[in-house]
Amino acid sequence: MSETTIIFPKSKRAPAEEFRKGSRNRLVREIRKRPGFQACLAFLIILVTIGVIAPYVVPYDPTAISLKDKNQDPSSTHLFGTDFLGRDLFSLTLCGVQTSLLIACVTVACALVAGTLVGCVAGYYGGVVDEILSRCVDLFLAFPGIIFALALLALIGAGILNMIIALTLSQWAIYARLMRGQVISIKNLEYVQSARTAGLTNTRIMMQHLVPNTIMPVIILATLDIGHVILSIAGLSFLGLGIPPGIPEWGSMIGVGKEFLRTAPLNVIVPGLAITVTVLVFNILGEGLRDILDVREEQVIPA
Amino acid sequence: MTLLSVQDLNVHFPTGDGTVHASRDVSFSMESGEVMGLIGETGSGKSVIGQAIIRLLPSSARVTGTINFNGQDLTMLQEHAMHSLRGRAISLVPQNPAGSLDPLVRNGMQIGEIFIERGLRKNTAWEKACDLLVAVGLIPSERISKEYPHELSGGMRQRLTTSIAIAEHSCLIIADEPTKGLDYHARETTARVLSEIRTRDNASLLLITHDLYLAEHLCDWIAVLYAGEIVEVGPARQIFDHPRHPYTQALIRAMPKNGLVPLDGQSPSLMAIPGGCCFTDRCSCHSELCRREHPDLVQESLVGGVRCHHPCSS
Repeated sequence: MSETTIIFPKSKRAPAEEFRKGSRNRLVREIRKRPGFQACLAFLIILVTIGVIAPYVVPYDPTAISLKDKNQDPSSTHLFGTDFLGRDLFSLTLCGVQTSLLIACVTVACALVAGTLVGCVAGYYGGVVDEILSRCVDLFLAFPGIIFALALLALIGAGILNMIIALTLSQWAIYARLMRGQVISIKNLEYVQSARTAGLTNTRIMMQHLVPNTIMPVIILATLDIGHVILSIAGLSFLGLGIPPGIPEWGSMIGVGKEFLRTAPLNVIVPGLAITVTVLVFNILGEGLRDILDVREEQVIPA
Repeated sequence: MTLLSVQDLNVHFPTGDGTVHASRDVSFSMESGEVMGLIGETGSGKSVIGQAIIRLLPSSARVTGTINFNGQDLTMLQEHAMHSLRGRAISLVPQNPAGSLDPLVRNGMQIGEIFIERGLRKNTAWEKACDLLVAVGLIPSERISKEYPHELSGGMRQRLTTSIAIAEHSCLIIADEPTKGLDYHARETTARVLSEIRTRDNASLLLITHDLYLAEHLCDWIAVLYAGEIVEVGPARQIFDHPRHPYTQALIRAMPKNGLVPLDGQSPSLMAIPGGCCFTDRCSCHSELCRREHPDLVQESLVGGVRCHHPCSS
């Protein structure tokens, strides 16, 4: 006979409630159990530190071109070697952290706020409002995100701000849809009803009761999404539509460096590894966070 | 002065399988400061009446009739006007206190947010909330106000939801099964809190309950509901001492102190209500007439009425 499993359904309300109960202890305990998560957390802190201080501490000016030093191998003077224009790859890669993290975090934050608001309004009011907003969301979800951002960037031109706009527009709908479902699942619960009975305004009900009780899965999605957005940034820059030359960015480093793949593979390998590691860190963090905050609907325990 | 007067209130829920008649031709009125009890078994349409008054029925509900509150017909009121009455003039003590408190909001803020909504500063609101906690006996209020709802016992949550309902000195409080799921001691406390509110604010209380013990202790008036309609209405003493409708008699006989005699059978489905008297099948003294004709609520005196072809004489 196949392995029997017992499924314990959890109440919709429980996770957040449980999380608050002695949250500090539980959080610390759950993190202690996960060495991988701890390592990623440490790495994230290092990444953020690099992002903040890199422009001031790197050994070389990342944009200084020195053609006589081009395509050098790693040495004590150039830790990762130099690229095809003689720029120090170590400095360039470290300064790229700032660009990627900044754009990714701002994009995800904007998408999160916009999506949460739209999803919450659509879910709570329902009816015509929901119908209009949901069709809007569907419209945005109908295009593959990267293609949508690509088309938009081609239209409005490259640049950090335009990049943020394009990526936010391609991402917000996912948050809106998740939030809408979350809100619909709790809006008929008694505490929302009794808030209405007490004569609270809709704005207050949404901000004080609906959003705090539904935001957890959205936040976890956001953590996972940062990795995804970093990849998109790199992809768009690789195609030359993202970050203008002159600003250190991993995607564009690979884009211009690919010509020298045979003669000087470090041009591609170094930024490529940086992207891989960063995205991996965010994915592991997101997954770990999901397990720790325990927003899975049910827990499966083998009997 | 008449505070609330409900006339011919009908509530239907159209569903795929037919229409559910949750409330049929319900009429009653309440004076200021009075306690009116709506009693009846589960599914008799008690809660629907309470929700119809505060206008928080699901959007699928079809409501006809008039609900006159302080000279305004609540069924005709615009939503924003109704919104400004909720929590201020009319408040509701919800049925399930455990589910009616936001799990992520501190107890003090559950009450305090109502005051913040009305424009008070946060610390003033918090102080007023603590005062209310003391008023319903949640002491020490300092500590309790900082805790979360899951840290309270069932009876304490009940008192907390009650304190939310009385925060604004409403003139009509609808208490929807306030003793549901509470033990004897917590029930006593709830009864005491409710009667204290009444003396404090001179508020009218519409008590929706199947707890006859509570109804007997608190109510001035009782309306007995069966299958969505009022079968007997009158002063509480008269209903408990001299019940005239066979259903009311059966209810009272089923009280523990009166011998816990169960009533056989089940109330009719609200989707297929029989043509004659709804209670015929369970009634010990029915006749041919009962099956044929639906009895009217006969006003026997100024004070009460009974919906029965063969009411027992007192």
